[in-house]
Amino acid sequence: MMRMDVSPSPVLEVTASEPALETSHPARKSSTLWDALAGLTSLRLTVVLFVLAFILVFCGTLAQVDAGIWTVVKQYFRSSYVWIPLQIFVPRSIRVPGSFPFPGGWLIGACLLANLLAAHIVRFRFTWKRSGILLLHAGLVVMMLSELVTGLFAAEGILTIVQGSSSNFVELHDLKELAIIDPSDPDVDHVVAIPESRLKQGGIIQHDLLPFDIKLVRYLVNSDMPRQPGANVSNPATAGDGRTLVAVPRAPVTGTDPEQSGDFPAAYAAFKKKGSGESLGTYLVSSWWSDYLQMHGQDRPQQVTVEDKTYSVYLRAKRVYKPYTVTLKKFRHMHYPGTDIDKSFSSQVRLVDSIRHEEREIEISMNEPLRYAGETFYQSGFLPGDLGTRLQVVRNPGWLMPYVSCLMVAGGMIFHFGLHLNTFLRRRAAQ
Amino acid sequence: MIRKPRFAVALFVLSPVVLLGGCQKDDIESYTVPKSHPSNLGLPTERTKLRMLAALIPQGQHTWFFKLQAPEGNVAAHQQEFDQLLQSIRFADRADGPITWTTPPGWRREAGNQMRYATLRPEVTEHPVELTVTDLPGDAANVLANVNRWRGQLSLPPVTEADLPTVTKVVTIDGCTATVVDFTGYGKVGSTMAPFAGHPPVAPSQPNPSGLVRPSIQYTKPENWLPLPEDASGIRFVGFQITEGDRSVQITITPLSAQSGSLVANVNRWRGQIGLPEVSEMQLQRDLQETAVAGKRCPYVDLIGAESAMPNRLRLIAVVARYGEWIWYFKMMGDPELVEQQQSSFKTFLRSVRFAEGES
Repeated sequence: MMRMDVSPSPVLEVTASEPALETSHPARKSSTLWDALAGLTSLRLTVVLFVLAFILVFCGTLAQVDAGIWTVVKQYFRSSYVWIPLQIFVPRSIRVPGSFPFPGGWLIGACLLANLLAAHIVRFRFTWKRSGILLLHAGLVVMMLSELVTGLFAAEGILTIVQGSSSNFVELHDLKELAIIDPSDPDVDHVVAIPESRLKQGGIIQHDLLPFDIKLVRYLVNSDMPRQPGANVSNPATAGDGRTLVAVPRAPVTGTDPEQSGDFPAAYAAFKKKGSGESLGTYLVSSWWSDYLQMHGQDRPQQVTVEDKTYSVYLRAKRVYKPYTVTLKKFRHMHYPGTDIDKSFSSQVRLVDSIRHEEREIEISMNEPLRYAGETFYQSGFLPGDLGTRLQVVRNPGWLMPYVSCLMVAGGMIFHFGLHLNTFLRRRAAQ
Repeated sequence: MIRKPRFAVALFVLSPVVLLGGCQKDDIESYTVPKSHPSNLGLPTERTKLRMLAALIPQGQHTWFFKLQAPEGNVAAHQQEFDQLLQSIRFADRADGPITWTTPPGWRREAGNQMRYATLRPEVTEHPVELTVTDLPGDAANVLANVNRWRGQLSLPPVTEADLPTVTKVVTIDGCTATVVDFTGYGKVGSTMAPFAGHPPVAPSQPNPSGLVRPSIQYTKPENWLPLPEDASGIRFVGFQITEGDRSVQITITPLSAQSGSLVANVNRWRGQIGLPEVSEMQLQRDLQETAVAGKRCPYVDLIGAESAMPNRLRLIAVVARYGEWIWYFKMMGDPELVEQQQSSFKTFLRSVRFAEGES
């Protein structure tokens, strides 16, 4: 029977005529773990997993009609399972209830990885002839692990700096938080941050760190900028700016939205005195009054007073504070002559890190990011009127893994095909 | 031979890895942020303590604005020079020099532009400041509106007519009654706010006064938008109308030169058209949205008329798109419900817009 040695997949290594298991490790064939590994080497399992992966990618693509890219990535690909709504398969004009469970990207990826590793463990025989294949498959393992590392440990945020000023935190725009700030200390602000996932659950939020209890009356995942209410519009707010402005719900930004402006959530929150439950007012908090206004050098906190202490409350992008401060000295925005078409952006920044005793001045431009302390700073945008810069700060411990993987796969293929070519040329010369 | 697969055992072995996907750190957290850091807003030096000295002088058919705004310490160093300059002002009935003053020693006068009559600044100083002189024709001397606009620029609350005597000083300058203010608040350093927010735009009397070649424009409009009759003044480029029963909405496209007034001036003109009070630049920025026109993010305002205007309340959506030396104003105004219905069509229309060089 013909053998197929040239193969990027372990499944093609398996042939009915190759009793690798029996011959390689006869002493272990009755062990349960070994049985499981043997089962994992199944060609049919590989094919099934690939088909499941194709279906998952297809469904994840369809789901972006209704949901944002990062929501889909999290639900479909960086999960062990997903409930896929039937609605995604039919036009939205026809309402179809119900959903079905499906393995998520990490479950499928983990099974593929196990399938690949099991094939090598069960049938491991190191020979020079097979070393190219081994290297190639090791490259695939690195590639799969790189997605796991990225999904688990990578973080990216936006560092916004107005020209002439500094910043020491990044904002994670796909995560929101309700921040309650106590500004009474002359030296520091005390911040308590409630993650969006908790806000979406609704109900009453009670916590030792909070100066009051919070009852979520309503949470809008996306909203228009608060506006004056029209006639006959009910307004739950009894205090703050929400008394004169109401939040208007808006469908979440989807992966197919051409504007990709991001969601601006809003919430109606009733604040209550701890213990007694005495009402401190129902407030509207909107990320338009924090994330959006910040781009214009302003903000609009809602002031909640309890026991003679006033707290500023914001619904905003989650902040991550850094041990360094970045000052924007100059932002340059070039256009192609005679047009408004962007040509290039660059930011001349000064980075001061008091912990690492680092101080340097760097120019960050579109294709020349700054790499510092495991983070990469990309020039990603600018503030309206070129008032300042927006840098994307990415920390990904696995950023090198795809490069290493590609090199390993390429090296493995070159070595393997090189051996075959060599054998072929020798035979030909002999003939 | 390979034994029958035992997937369950294998998946059990793998489960810790797979379940990592479900682990999220979603706790309520607490931390402290030093106040000296750029933390509260992310824009630390944005909110610098500023002082503003300003004078509003109505004279004949003109209103003159003298304004000096800078960080508090810088203004204090030059306050005396500002007061002396005000007292040196003389008006003349001459078109080429309607006003004169004595520039303080060591200061230089820079040429003005379409928006500004002159700019004065000290040449060598440790406390740099900029004094602007602006001239507005006609009746722009609404003291309360201007005082509140200035207060808004320094994040100060507005005042009422009754409060004016307590926050302003009235002085006589060359026979004219002038209003002088001295405010301290928080604002942006180097702000380029228009000196006359609230004033109608300086729209050209001709659509193309500078001889600039207006770019051509292409767009795709919905079928139910019917063209309006041609604009006799020639200012409006094109207009459409949608009518449903007794409700109607008009869409207009007007290109003007890039000098056609600040955004706040135009927004206040539109607010006036639907019975809303004027807003300051800061208030405007708070309400400003953005949308895409020809692939670029452009300012977008969505205004609904005052409730007192019921039942003839109007809603107005306008987008300002700058292309080269031209500013294109896209406006939809009419019955609020019909505007709401047409909003997505309007945005689709805006996305379809394409500009190109060449007379349209």
